[in-house]
Amino acid sequence: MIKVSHVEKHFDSFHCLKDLTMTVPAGAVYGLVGPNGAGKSTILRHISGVYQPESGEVEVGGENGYENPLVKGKIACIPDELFYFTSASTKDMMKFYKGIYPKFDVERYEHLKEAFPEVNENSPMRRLSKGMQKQAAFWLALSCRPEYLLLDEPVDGLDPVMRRQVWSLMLKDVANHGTTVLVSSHNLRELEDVCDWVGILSHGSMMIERSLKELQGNVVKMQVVFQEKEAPQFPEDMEILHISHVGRIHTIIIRGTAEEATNRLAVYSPILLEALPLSLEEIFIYELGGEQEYAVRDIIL
Amino acid sequence: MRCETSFFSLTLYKKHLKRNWPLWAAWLALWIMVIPLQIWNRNVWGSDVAKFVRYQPMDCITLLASSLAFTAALVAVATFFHLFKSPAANFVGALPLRREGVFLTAFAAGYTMLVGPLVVVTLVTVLLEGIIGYLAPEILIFLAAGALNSFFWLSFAVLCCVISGHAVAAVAFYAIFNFIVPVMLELVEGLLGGFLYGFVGFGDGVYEACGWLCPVMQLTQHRWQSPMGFDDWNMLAIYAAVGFLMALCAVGLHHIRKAERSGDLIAFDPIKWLFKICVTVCGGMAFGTLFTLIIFDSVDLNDGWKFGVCCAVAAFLCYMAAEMLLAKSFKVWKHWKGGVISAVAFLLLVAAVDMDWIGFTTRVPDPASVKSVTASFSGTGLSSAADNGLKFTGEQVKAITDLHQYLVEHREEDAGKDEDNYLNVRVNYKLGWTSLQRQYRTYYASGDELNRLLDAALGKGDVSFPYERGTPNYLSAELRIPTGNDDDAEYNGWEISTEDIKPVWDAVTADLKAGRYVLRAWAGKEDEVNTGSLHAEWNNTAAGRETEYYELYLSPELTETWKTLKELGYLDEERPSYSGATIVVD
Repeated sequence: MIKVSHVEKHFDSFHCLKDLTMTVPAGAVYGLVGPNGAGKSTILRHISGVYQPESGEVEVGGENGYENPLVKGKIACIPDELFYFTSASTKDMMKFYKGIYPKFDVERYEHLKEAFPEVNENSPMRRLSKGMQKQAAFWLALSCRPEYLLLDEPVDGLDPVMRRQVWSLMLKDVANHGTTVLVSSHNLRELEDVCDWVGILSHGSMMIERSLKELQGNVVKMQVVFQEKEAPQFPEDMEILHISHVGRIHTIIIRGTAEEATNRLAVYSPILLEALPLSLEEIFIYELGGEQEYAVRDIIL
Repeated sequence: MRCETSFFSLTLYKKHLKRNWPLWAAWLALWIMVIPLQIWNRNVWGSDVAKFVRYQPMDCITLLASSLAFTAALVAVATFFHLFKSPAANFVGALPLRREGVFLTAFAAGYTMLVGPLVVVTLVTVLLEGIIGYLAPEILIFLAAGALNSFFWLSFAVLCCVISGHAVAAVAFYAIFNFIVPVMLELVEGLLGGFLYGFVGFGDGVYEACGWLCPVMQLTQHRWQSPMGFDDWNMLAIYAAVGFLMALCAVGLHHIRKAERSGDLIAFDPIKWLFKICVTVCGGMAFGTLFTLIIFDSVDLNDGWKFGVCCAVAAFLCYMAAEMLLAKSFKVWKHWKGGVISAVAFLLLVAAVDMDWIGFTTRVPDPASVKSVTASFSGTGLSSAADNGLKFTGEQVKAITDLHQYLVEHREEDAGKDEDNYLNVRVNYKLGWTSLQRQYRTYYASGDELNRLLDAALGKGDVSFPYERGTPNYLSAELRIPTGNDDDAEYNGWEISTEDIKPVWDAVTADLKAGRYVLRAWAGKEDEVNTGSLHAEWNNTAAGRETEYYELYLSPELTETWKTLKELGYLDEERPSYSGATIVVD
């Protein structure tokens, strides 16, 4: 588990992280979403032990990761800006990682060669394309057999086939070894299919943090046609997040399960009553709404 | 080696050596060419190989110091690469290594890159010397000097790298720190000398102490000897110890350094303030002087306001430049208040010095508070005995304070005086625990008040002669032999031969002890009698290689000396002078 509690960080006068609290359960794939400058990379660097929080705590597996080689040995990172030694090839970097990371698995490295056929392991990394470099980074990171995989904008530069391939490899690790994956992105749609937890950052604070199941099971979109043209007055305890209509068809977003919503709307004897699934971005739009709309728009459009 | 908790990573160490091989290979090639290859060449083509194998490594220690100063900076930047760019900082920061481990590994790799090639050169040289049959221990001294020097230079460069977050800035700081102290010392001394009437300068002690703060000059100007003496080892050991302290500072700063500071000019906030102050003060003075020269054609320190305004403008600009460098942006106008404060501070400082707010210029000690005074006088009509110093104690002190008071009160009256009659006065008061030193250059005329006070002082003081030094190691004489023609005279320069030094010096000592000397240069009948000067040197063996000098005006009163010189043949026209010919001056 990764636990971040009330972390604060300034860069000169810029308040980058404001009382940030988040929890990544063990074995989860956690999507950290937020617009540019929200603090995604910064919190990832705190978790990977690069930055020290000004206040608050960052725990990885119950221990502070800053200046803790034991904890850092369990973490593999793929930063947004990749680094490799000048003139080093993927193979050179593998040899380096082998000497540094305690669980580096050379067999796995050899095995993963098939997954990244386009990457020439003997070619200097600086000569590789951006996408190839990213593939090499995944190759090396997965070979470290990490317990925690931190990915900052990981699939930027990868083609759709390679994206699927990379996610498949990571999800296998999650399933087989219980790897915890924390992935940041500025695009919610990208994470919808793979994450089971999502946290949205805005201006250095966690706006919302939920499991996908919880989110999707707790908000429902109902399409209703009432006997009357106008919608009736709903009781106050029915938590309606949004209501709109096109002609006589009313679309109502209600907090609660589909069953509960259906039962409560059935009392109005509607002509049509149907529960529809919400996409992740719809859920966040309706959950956050209001003042947060701007930030949400940034991450889903 | 799996480094989980250790303070050293063999993998990272190897990586440093592997990726930076061109650096240490070039360093190795340089020294292979300079020592073993030269010895080989000398053995094949030259002569005196036995001497060469001893001298070549010793001669190379100076080159070693200067080239190490340069190479260590490159090595430090290469091995501490993670301090300068964000991706590298994040990469190294995320590795499962302690910060101390990263530091020590990089430092060890850097040190290996500097010393490793020297070890190889030593082994090759020893092997070569063994083959040609001239084994000499000097190459080991070279290696020891290299090892100690490398530690200092690397620590110094690494400290600069840790303080800065930018490779170019780190190297710039390293270069500036090497020279800033003597340069600023010269500048400040020059300016104070211009503003403060009587200012002596900082003295040799200050310059000697500050010399240590300019390690490039200190190490390259030192004359290394074989076998190495105390001075040589002392210098190496002191710099190695300073290097150790610098390395400790660097490791401490590296531990607390924030990774996000990579790319910044300065990585620590308190040092940013120090940087701004230093840039403002040093730049204000240097560019203030330059602006004054450009705008007003000369630094006329009588018009202090011109210099003050130029310094204030320079300080403002330098402060803003420092802000720009720190912010890496030209948009720093919001910091204008700091610039204005700097400018005002400079104006006040220049005004304080120019208007002598602390009373430096007018200070003349009360004779009662003076334990003793040493004064030296030189100038038109004064002999070297006056220049060598007179001591005043008790009642005698008043003669010198009166002269001093006159000089201070009439300090602005030199204009228009006959510059041929100049007078240099230097006084050193002992005031209990402290001392007061002043020096003046002024002009006088026969019969004026200053001349009278000078005579009074010369008449009161006790002349000091170097009796305690014994017979000098070297003695030479410049003699003026009149020819009878009013306009001509022969000037002969003699190096007193070794066997004649003692009798001549004994004669000099006898004359001085008998009071046969003059403080005023012998005047009136120069065209009728012999005059001249004597130059003596003592090698001060106790203090190493330092030499002490003494100049004596040979007036006709030194009868015993002239007699001895004549007896030994130094006045004979046939005797060739040391310059090879008699010099005739029109």
